Amino acid sequence: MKKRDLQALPAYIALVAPALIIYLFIIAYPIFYSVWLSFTDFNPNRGGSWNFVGLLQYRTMFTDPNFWHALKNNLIVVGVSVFGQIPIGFILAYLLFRKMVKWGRFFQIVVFLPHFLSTIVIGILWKRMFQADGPVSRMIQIFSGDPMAQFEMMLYRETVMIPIGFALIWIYTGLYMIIFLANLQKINENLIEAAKIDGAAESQIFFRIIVPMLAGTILVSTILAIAGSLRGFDLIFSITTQGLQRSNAMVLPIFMYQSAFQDYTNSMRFAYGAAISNIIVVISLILIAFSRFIGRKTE
Amino acid sequence: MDLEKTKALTGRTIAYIVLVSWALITILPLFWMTYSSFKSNEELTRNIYAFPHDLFSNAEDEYVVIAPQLNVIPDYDPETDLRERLIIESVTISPGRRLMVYFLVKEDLPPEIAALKPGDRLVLSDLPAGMRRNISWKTMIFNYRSAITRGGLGQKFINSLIYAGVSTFLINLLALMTAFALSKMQFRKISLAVVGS
Amino acid sequence: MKKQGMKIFIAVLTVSVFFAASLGAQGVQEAAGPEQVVVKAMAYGDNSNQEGVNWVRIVDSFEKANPDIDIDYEMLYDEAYHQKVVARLASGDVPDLAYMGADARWGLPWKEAGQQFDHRPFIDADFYNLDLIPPMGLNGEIYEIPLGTSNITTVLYMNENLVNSLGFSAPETYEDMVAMVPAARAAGLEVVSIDGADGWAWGSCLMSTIIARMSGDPQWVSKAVAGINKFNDKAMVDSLSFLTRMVNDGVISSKSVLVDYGANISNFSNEKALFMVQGQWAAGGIENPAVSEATKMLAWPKLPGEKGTAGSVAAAIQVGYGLTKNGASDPAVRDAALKFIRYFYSHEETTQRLRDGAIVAPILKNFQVPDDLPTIVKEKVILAQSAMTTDVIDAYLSGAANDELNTGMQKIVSGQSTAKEIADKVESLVKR
Repeated sequence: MKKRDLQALPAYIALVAPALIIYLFIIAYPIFYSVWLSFTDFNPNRGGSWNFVGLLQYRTMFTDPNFWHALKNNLIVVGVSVFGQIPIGFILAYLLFRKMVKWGRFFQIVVFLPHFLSTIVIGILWKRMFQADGPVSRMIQIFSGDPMAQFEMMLYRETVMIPIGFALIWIYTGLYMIIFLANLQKINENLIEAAKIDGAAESQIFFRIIVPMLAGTILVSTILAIAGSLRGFDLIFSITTQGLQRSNAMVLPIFMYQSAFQDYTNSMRFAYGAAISNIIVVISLILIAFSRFIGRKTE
Repeated sequence: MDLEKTKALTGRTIAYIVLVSWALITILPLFWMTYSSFKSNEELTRNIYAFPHDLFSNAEDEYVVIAPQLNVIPDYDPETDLRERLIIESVTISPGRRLMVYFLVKEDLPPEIAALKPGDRLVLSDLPAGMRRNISWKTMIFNYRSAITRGGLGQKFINSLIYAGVSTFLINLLALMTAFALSKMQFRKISLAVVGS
Repeated sequence: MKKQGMKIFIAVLTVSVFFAASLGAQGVQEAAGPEQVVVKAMAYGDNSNQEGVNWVRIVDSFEKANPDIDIDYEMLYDEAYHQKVVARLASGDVPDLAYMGADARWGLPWKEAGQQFDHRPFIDADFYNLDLIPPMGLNGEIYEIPLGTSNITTVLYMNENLVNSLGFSAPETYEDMVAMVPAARAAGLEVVSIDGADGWAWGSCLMSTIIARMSGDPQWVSKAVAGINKFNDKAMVDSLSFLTRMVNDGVISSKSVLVDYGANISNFSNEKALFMVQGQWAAGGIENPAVSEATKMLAWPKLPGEKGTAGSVAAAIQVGYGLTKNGASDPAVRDAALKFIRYFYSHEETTQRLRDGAIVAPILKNFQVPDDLPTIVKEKVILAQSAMTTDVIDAYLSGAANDELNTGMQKIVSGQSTAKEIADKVESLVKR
């Protein structure tokens, strides 16, 4: 190495070290700790003693029907994010970009509005909307003429993800719309004008020019959506009441929380919770790798 | 009319339908939440869609005179301010919970009201105009006042600001420092190890 | 020159980053001051309920009277409280003083962490009435000072005016309640309102009584957890099937599975239901003074198939504030915390708590019961003095089995499961 380079080394360290140290402490250390924890029966409340239990926690998890139910719900949330929020966000952004309506600015703000609120507030809002004789039930009663009718989707395992999926779309569509709109505005107007002069139809412009040019943005949004929906805890936690609704709408983070923090009968519950969170990390890595793979293929 | 124009028109119509309905879906629940925040608890149960009424038409609201008790927390400092107070509590909004309580300075009251005993009732319109306006106004924003005084919303807001400010500043600063070092300084091998790919 | 400038810049940045990081920790230490005793406490309540508002007020006036003590508290309510207890215990940040109990729901985390502290040597027998504080440990240990005497969880609140207006009077049997259904329906009223969206309400506030009646054994639940009874015995299956019957008879509506805690009390308070199922603590939450005045607090009437324990209610040891082992290990902190507890349980504060409807009866010696108590509080005292008490399910059953039982009852009421299925599942999940 040249002498000049070595002189810059202290500066280099000073620039990189703070972020690196923080990263190691807040992100890397917990990950390694939780991997270690998941192979033990460690419980901090019992003093320092612990044993290696091998794959016991993982075996318990894979034989627990609640885990599979939570995983299924989680994949539904991922599906709603990738195939709901992103396409709708894209369409709304496109409509605004092509100036198909007046007051574009107004619509932009309105659609983005929910994102300004805390997820807990939104969860409580929708919980209120869905409760017995609440606004949604009243709406059903008015339209069906049956004063006893109730909105019951939250009660059944098969349907609970529909209202929750709706609430998720309601919150996050605006975010993706803004992301897409910002990237659409980078596209050179002349390109579209030129295509029009060459006789391209609106649909051709959309599929041949707009979509390919935004492929990278779509991919990044997809990764964001996958990562966000696998660790999403707050909305589903606050929109459901403790009991049947939450057990119906169980997703992996909530399953982890309940196993680690509420099941006092399991003395290995912290280790079990660590095993579940490791699986959440693994699943999101797989899904993200998969979406990058799809992304490369389509390029 | 030629084909091009009809097509453009249908396109615009669909665009309006999509955007307007999405905007409604977004706004209506928020609108409901906002106007419901001006209703009393009881009103919210009675008719879930009705617009706020009880907190606003408060001119004839009834109040009961209560005796000082442990759970009636003065809104003034009783050690420095020794003026006698008449304590009244609403009988319609959160009655008996000591949430909507006012401490009226007796010397500002007409003598027949100042002489009321605990258990006696009075109507807001009996009070002198200044006091009446003050209470009337406070009734309208009752829920917001509760959030700020009892809920400590001010401190929480400051906490949020500190949290948002410090984290944004540090994230940007650290990211800038690291990004500069990694991309512009000549330690490619170390940089590779740091980034990890 | 340029190079030097950059070096200084970097140095300033680095220092400022570490300064910012250490700022938080320092701020906390400075606030306490050197000669103050700090008692770390976990309080139960929120900003708008009486528990919370009173806690804040009591701490403020206590600190004013005792400037050498700082009650450094964290106040949380409901699930958030339980979650924070577990998290703080696991991370070793043990509070000195906390709201706790001795049963499966309120005591287990403290027990597991070895933080239960026997208060007996420190309880002033001239101040507390020791006959009213039940033993909590195997050797009669007392782990917390209960807010009041035993906590009744299965109260049937009745709006007497509303029942009378339909031409009925207080029910003697379950069939009497069934007879009210047509009239209540015609008037657009619920017969029994329950906060069925909350899983725990079914277990704590309803099933605890049904199982005692159907089995005729007040200790059926604790015996089942000990392995003497099984959760899929006939008594339990019958009790669970009774829920279906209540729904079919129209006594409980299947939509109650969508009603949460606040909505339940506010339905009753706004005269939308003849009866309400909740614990004794809800008495203070009935906002409408006319309803509160007309409310009778009853035990469930005679149920069909009832084998014994007629007129009983389920009750658990009341929770309250207690010291942890950690807090008791430092004499200065221990004495400060005990001083605060005594202040918190003073005759004046206890009278206030009684008036607010938060407790059944005080556990203090020579307590003067004021004669101007609100009607509903008098009702409560009558119920507590007359009714036989039985086990509360979640005082003994916890974890996955209890969750399954609670969600199972919600499934039964919404017609998704049968009693037998749920009973078998709960039995398979019980860890004995």
